Amino acid sequence: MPPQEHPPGLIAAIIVATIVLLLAGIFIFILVAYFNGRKKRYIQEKQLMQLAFNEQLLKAQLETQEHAFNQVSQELHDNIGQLLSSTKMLLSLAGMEIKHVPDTFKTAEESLAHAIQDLRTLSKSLNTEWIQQFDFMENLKWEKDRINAARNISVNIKSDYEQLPVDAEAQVMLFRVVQEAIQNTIKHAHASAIKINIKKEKQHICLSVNDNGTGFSVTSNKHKSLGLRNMEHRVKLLKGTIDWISHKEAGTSVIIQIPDPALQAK
Amino acid sequence: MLSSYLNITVAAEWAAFIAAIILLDKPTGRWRLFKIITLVTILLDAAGWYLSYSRLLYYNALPYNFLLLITVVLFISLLGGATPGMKKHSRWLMALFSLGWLLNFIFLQGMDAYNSYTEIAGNILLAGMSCFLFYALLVQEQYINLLRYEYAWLAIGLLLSAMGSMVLYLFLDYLQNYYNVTGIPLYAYINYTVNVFLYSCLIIAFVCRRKNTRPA
Repeated sequence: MPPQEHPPGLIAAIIVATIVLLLAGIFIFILVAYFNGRKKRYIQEKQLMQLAFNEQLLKAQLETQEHAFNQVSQELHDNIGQLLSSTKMLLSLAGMEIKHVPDTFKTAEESLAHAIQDLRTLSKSLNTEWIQQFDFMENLKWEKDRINAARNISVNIKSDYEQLPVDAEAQVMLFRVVQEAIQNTIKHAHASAIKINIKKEKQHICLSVNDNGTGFSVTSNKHKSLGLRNMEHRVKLLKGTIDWISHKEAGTSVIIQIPDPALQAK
Repeated sequence: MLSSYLNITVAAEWAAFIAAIILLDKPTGRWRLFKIITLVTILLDAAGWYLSYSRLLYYNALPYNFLLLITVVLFISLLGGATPGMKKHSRWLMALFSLGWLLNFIFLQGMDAYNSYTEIAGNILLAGMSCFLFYALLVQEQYINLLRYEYAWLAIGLLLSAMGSMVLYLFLDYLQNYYNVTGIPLYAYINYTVNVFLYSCLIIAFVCRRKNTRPA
């Protein structure tokens, strides 16, 4: 192209326009990055709110469950328990009037006394208020004695703690989780022994319930079983973790870790 | 001879080519095309320079016109693939751009002149698609860290390059004339600046692509 005169100021305008457009590109990116940052904060807040909501929901569910337990416990104690007690009393009176009391009658009376004792025990184990009066370790030992008395399965406890360093509400929740684990073993595992270990770990309380039963498929049962989901929910509320390790014919281990407030404070 | 070949744009192209060779392996998928594209860019640039240097041709625009078609189509394809709901439209845009390129190449500016109209149209298209990608990233529910997202770097590189070179190609003749009169290669300066932006962003995008296609 031969040299030509160009309009005055055009070159300056080209330079300015180029710089302005380049800056506009940078500004667009900064703007996008800013709104993306806001979006990140919004998503985080939403997740936190969702978590808080889920926690409230779980608490409400568990409170309802505890309330139902209390009602069942009260009913067992006040209604069925009273009926059985009065039946036992009537049987005793009847036994006094019979000259030669048959063995079957005596056995029936003993069985009834045993049933009343079992019912009281069950009623107590379902009563939250009663549980809250005692600590976790005491309740666990008591639960162990109850199961061992049936002589179907032997329960052993090994613990680094005399008393768990968590509040009563947390102890109740943890106790319910252990109860569920034991019940699952009794109902499904065909096990002959349960070992419960409670260990002090770095800032955590580690509790494991191990059995020598048939085991189960963790992946297929975890989402289906209401009991397992409840265990998970309760441990979540304790800000802990729960894991099931199970192999066919090689038993199951339920491993629960919850924060130890005393160790975490250090 | 070599000093007349080497300039900032060529250095940036070589850097991008080497980065593509090192970073873009099999898991990076379609991005491996950048190995070919950057190599073709270097070869065409070298051919263009050689044709001009050896005075075999007075006009060396021909290879650059082909390069323009290849790169814009590739960028439309990549941006379209990364933008939700844009994949189907991007095929139309590629076809439309190719048709426009052909019409300009044959009937309007011809093959001896650099097809600046096509370049401007391509720049507008890529700038628009980049902005649309940003918009789509903002409105989608999922959060993506832009600084670690390869398509965000590709989009910002293309946006800056498109915005920066828009004026350059609108006034290419004036800038050429200005060089002839004053000896100041202003168009080259603008070109270097936008190319440095573009290739730097591309290299960062390659790094992100490699990282994002590796198992955590």
